[in-house]
Amino acid sequence: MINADRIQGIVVLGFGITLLVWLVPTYVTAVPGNPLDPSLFPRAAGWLISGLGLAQIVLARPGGSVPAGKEFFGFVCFIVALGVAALLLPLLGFLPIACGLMIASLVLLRERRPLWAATTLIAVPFFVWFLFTVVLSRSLS
Amino acid sequence: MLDLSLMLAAFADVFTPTNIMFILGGVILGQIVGAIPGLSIIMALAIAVPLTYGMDTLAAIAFLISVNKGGTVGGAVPAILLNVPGSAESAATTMDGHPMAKNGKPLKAMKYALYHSVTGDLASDIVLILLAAPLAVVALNMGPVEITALMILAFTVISGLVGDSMIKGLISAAFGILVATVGLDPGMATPRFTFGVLELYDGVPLTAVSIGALAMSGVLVGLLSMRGSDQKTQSSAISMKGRTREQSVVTFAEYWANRFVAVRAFFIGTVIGAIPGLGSTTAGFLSYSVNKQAAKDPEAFGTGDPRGIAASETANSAVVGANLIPLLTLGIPGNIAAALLVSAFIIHGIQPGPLLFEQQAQLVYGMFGAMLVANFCNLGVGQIGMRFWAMVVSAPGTVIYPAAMLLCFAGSFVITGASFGVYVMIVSAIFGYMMRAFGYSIVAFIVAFLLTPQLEGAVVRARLITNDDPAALLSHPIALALIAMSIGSIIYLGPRKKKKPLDGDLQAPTGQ
Repeated sequence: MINADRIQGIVVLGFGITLLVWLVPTYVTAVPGNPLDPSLFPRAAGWLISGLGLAQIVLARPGGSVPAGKEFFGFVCFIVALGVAALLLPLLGFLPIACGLMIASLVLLRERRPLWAATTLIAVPFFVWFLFTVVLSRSLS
Repeated sequence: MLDLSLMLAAFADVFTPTNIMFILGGVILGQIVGAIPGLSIIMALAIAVPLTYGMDTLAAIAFLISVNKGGTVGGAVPAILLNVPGSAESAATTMDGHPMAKNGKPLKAMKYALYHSVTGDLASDIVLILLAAPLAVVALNMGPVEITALMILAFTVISGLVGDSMIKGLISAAFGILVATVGLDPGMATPRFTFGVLELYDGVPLTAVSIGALAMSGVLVGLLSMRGSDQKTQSSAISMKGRTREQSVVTFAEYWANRFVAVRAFFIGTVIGAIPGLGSTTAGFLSYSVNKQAAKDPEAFGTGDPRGIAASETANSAVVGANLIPLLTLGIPGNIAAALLVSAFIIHGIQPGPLLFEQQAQLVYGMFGAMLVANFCNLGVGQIGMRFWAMVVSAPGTVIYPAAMLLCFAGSFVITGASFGVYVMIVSAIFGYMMRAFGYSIVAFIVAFLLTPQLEGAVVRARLITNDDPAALLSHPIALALIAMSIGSIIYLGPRKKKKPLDGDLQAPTGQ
């Protein structure tokens, strides 16, 4: 029977095999037989992931849940907003980026109360900037 | 052997204005974060780690420990006032705390929680101080073969105890091992999985991974749950206005009346805290259950009985000190809070484990001193701040979650001083979110990620010592026993066994 756990097991097993067949041989230097072999742990991780993926397929429990489509869409929106913010940070500096991120959050959360919206939009970025750059003397750009 | 002069010097280190300020700041921050439903202590710790970059080591460790201690106390506030635990640790406190508040004694319930929380925490710290050094001496006698076997045991136990499936726990641990191998290998210094990215030669930054997988993924879950509902504020808390003195004060006689409950809870919390993988939520519920069964009138529990609050709060706080026992003696973080503490140690160039007592004894005893001071600060701050934290519980999520998100963003940027840290944080947040959604253990992932460099070193040394001869294991009975225990734990906690997830696994933030 196909259920969420079993599908996850297939994905895990697939990744484990990819790791063993392609990623480890291509991106890790192997010195077989040497106690210092750099590929020992990546290979061990590959075998573990493959074996456990197989175990999950075989021993899958009925049921299991997956995130709702609407929730997943919201998650993707936040991740995209964060990614864009990270990309633009070196170009625009922290405060404009932080305000942009807060606007995106307010839009995604549909906050309409002016006082709380203003707090999120102005006070929060300024507080974070003040904490890191003034109190802790860490550069944010 | 305890060196008294060294201990006194270390304790004196704590009493500098800077350290006291950081301890106080940590306690206040922890209590506030703990009081906000949806923000966990773990999130606070993950976000607080980058704040410690500019601090000296003792101040940084003292600050993080204080955040942890403060969070345990703060978590009781919404549990009592809203019937929603601020953090999973305080879930058992709702059972008697909220009924007592509804009976017109909200401040009294919070004070019961505060006093017993500090009692449990203080007693467990004393156990840690007395036991850690002797246990570390025992641990120092272990060779690489035994350490390898011990790490394997830690992986299996933690993977089995956290989350709802051992297979998923072990898969999480395997991914932790894999991610930890990124960068230059420790033996030959050849690059592994660096994909030509220069920044990856130093490995994946632990703090950015912690912030992403633990804090940011939790913040995103909170944001999404707010997005899914029209409720932008938390439900209204029970008001504390217009109460008489009898309804607000806990007398010494009332506190002392719960001493047997507190002692039982302390033992339960300390033992559970010392076992890697278990934690405060388990301790709180187990202690509540044991004390209820031991009571002559168990039916009184659940109606606002102070013994219920004492049982839960003493036990969940007793875990805080005890969970440092495996960390300081074996180098194995007992839970995720201890794992985050390890990242702070590593940032400051210190490797936790039994050697700490030899190489950094003054720092360790300074840390113990800071823990004791933090307990008294917790008491003082809680005594004054309880009324204010009661207002914090009603703060709207539309401010709290974006603020936490921005703190994660800024915190991960300062780790590398460039956007690379933010990218790692975002990828880790995606990974953490997926793990939460599909029931994989973030705790097992982080602990494996953290322990793998140590394990890899131990395996290399063990292979050199034994010449790759498995029969050589026969001359290492402790290692054999530990491996047998690992196999036993896999069978006992095994794949077919259905378990409820334990704490530290950070499901959706409470209260959402």
